[in-house]
Amino acid sequence: MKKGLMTTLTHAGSKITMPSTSMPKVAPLYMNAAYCFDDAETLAAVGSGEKEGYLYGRTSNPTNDCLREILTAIDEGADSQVYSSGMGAISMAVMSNIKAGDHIIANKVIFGTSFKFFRAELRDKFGVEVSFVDFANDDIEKYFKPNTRIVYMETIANPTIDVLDIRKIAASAHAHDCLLIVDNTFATPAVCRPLTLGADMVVYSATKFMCGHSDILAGVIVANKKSLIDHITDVGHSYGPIMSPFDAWLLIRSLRTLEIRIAQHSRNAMQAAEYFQGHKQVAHTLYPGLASSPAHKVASEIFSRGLYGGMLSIDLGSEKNVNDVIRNFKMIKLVPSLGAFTTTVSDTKTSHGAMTKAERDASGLSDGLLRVSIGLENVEDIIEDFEQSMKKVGR
Amino acid sequence: MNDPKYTRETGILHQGAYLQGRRDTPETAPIYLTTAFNVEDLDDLEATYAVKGYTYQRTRNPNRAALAELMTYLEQGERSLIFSSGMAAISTVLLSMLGSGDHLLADSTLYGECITLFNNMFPHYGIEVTLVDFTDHAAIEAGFRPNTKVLYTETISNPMITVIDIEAVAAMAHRRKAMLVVDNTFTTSVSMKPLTVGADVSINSLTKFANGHSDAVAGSATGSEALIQKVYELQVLLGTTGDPFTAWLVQRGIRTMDLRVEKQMDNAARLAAALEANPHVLRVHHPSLASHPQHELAKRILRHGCGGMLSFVMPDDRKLINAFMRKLNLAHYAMTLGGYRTTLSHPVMSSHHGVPEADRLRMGITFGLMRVSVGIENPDDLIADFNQALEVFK
Repeated sequence: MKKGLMTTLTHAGSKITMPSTSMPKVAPLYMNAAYCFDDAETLAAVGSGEKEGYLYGRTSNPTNDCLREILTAIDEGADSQVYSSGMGAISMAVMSNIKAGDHIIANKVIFGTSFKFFRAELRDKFGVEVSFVDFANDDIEKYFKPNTRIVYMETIANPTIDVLDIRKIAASAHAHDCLLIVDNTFATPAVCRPLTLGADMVVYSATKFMCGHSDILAGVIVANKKSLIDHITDVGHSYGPIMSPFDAWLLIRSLRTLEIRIAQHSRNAMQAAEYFQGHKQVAHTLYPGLASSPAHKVASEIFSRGLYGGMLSIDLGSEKNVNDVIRNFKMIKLVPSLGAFTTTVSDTKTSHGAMTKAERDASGLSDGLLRVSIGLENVEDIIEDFEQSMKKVGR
Repeated sequence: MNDPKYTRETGILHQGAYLQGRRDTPETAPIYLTTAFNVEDLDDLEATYAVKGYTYQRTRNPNRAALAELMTYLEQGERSLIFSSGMAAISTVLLSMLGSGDHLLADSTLYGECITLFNNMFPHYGIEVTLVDFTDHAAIEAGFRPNTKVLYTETISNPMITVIDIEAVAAMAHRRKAMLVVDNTFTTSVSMKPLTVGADVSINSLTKFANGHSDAVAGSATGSEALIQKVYELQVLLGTTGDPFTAWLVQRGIRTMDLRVEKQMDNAARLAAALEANPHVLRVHHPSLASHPQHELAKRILRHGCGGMLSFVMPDDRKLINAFMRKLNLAHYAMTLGGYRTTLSHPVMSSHHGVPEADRLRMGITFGLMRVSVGIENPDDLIADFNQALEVFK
């Protein structure tokens, strides 16, 4: 039967049958909202999980599954799920495991928006109790309650670059039947794999080092049990913060170079930290790779092969000094993100603007702090830009 | 445009056409998927022409311009052009320099498609071609004719991984008032910058090591402003331009090129040494090895590494070679090279399929020769994988 032009235009070429001999070297990008079925029984069987298959773009996508396979493997987890942003992943990981009346213990030094999510959303709106605790100097044991469900922290704290002993915190959490969720954004699996240290879930803003090219937003959860991800996936279907397949495809591409990028970020950061440590305008250099860092011992135990990541912070003494140094850079830019191939900086007000001044003070976040995301440039060029800028600013 | 006098049919085409508000400075360049750019009036159009502004995608596109700028920097030239493939770059560059009655003198061990282009296509346009072994400088001298306009070679040949002395060949070309065009694909600017040692144009199949992710096909040509202007004028007519999305992806790929290629070159040297030590391997071709005929030359001109490509010889036993390929876990056969994963290619069955047996044997291309594009895997994993697979020859 000869079909009308409009019918041909809408139906022809919608199915690619790959010859069995053709194995694409790179996984294809499935820009698909939904899948077609010949009968309702098959659709129902796929929907119930009785048969394998894809149904709808919000529930699953083959490109996203390729990405999940990589993420699960590199974090040595059981399964993973991906979301449209780091906050999408964090909110899904936490909200899937909490209800009104439950209690969360969170480190008081965390990314500003995570802090705000716990305080303004979970605590103030949804009736979840939240204790912000100084994990580094206080004993978290005394904050557990019968209704505590989640302990939350970052591998490398934003912006103090502090490193805590995940093994100890995991032991405490598990002794109280709680889940430990660790934001591993600053470290990446190339530096630290929290699941191997006892964490139940790791979350990422994969926008940062995991992607490394500043061109997508992405969030990741990897868990040590498949049942945790199954549950989150199910909850996520209701909220819908899914990752676009195109972003998943770009993130896969990025992960191919993760190890060589992170090794270079870490080498550069180590040299930059040594430079800052000897600089008279820098009151403190916060980097776990420095032997003088209080975090050095534990970081050396839980990080891989002497890598300490690409993030460091320096205390320039005042907000004015921070602003002046930023203004006098020739190459380095203030960017409200991090983890890119270029060196970028951020002040505390930018990274932790979601917190009030009082909250920042309570968490010990000084306005004189400049957070530096060390890039892949030649480290001499990075140091030179700091040198000339700080020279102009003076003491 | 927010004028209520227009209908929905018109509005659906005109709304959202231009970015409103502040032009920020994105960390990453936007992708300009537009075939053309609008101008206000004829004066504006003339002004756009005057500054070589963006008008039509085949003539100029911001993503192609951005990638070209990056290539010019990396290759240390004056100007670059971006093409839809490496072959588009090679054909456009050479056709811009050669005309009917001119003579092209090229290396005989070039990429197969190049040999097809030179031998089968160029004679249609009255271009004479001679292919000689460029490792043999006397053969090059003997190949010159009064009408020789261009010499063409690759920095490292495929699949015997021989190294060409670009500086010496450039000097020979220039003595005869000819130009030297070099394909820098195998070495990339990480280990070789042909323009700095006398070449006139450096071409890259960006598809390979430069992009490195096996997901884009693109080419580039870099040289002096005057030479590239001639290439540009032909490119506009032939329409061999690269597309904006590919240009953006390749630029993204190049951000990690130094990290990748350095690792690939280091891995290749390690794998070459391991293969040479393996009793089932008859011979290994990689310039890092002391046994390589141009080892000393390579040490002198490829100071940052001898490239990520190697080849090695196994016994001419098709069954055992198949068993070896199936037993490898990490390296798969692929009709490309330079990607982050290690891949194999079998010259007799692919690049040199049409070459008569006597000719290919003279080049050293036996049935047991396997070419390896070394990836960025952990080198110990790679070596262990090759060694366990080579056990099939026991």
